[in-house]
Amino acid sequence: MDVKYIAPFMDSLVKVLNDFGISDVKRGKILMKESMNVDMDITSVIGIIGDIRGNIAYSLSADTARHIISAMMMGAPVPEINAIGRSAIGELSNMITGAASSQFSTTGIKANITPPSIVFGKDIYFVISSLILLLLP
Amino acid sequence: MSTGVQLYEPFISSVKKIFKDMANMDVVFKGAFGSESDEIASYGVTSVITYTGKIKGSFLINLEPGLALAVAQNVNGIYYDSVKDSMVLATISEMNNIIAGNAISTLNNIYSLGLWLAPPYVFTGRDAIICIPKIPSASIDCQTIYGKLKVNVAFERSGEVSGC
Repeated sequence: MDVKYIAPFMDSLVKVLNDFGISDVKRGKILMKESMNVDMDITSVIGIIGDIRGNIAYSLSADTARHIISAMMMGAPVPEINAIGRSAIGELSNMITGAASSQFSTTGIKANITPPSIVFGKDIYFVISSLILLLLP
Repeated sequence: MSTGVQLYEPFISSVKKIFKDMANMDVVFKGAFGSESDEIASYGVTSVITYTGKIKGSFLINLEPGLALAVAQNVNGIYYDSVKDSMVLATISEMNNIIAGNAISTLNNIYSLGLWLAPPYVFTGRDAIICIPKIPSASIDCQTIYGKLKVNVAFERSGEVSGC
């Protein structure tokens, strides 16, 4: 897979989190996988259609999710992830993937996003699609 | 747009047809579609496919593990003993893709919705909950001789589309 398809997501993730005052995002090594065993609590999946087609999944621990939701709600305490919190995680996925889609459009690649779906639960085994799967911790 | 029954019908027809054609299974629908809360408990194996066009939404099939194994066995002619087997999950995912593809084609032909499908994904795990935030959804419970199935359809409400 060409790096031009990966970089916009990483750039957008960092930028969107930065906009909410979260600046300590560290990037791990990219892995190519056919399936994915997720040991985190929350995974938000959002689809991409257009010139490129696929899914992007954002996995995070409950603690990280609460931290981000709180940052999105101007520092309000988030003792549990309720409907508003779930909506915030969905919105975060929309913002990151939407921003990445906009970056694609500047290089002539049309990409539209589908609604996010969020899976809660630990030790979930995913097959994201029959396409190429990249993992970016 | 009021999310009418007309939008759900193609999914019901498609579920019945594809389960019969691909897995030689009869699906019995119990009652009618009912509004779903924004949290859906996974029965064991769940596949989700999302779409966008003039409206947006998602389609989900939720299967008990025994049913998922039976579907994979009937479709592929091979015995499987774990729902984590990649062929089991790939079979359920592909089945969802075909069901949703059929239904979306029908909706596009009737209502010119211009819907496009993203690739499906599938997961298995204990006590998983799935949530489609902000989009109202409806579910219908189904039964097969191999176990329970739940079908969930979500459509974003919008005033842009008429006739459905």
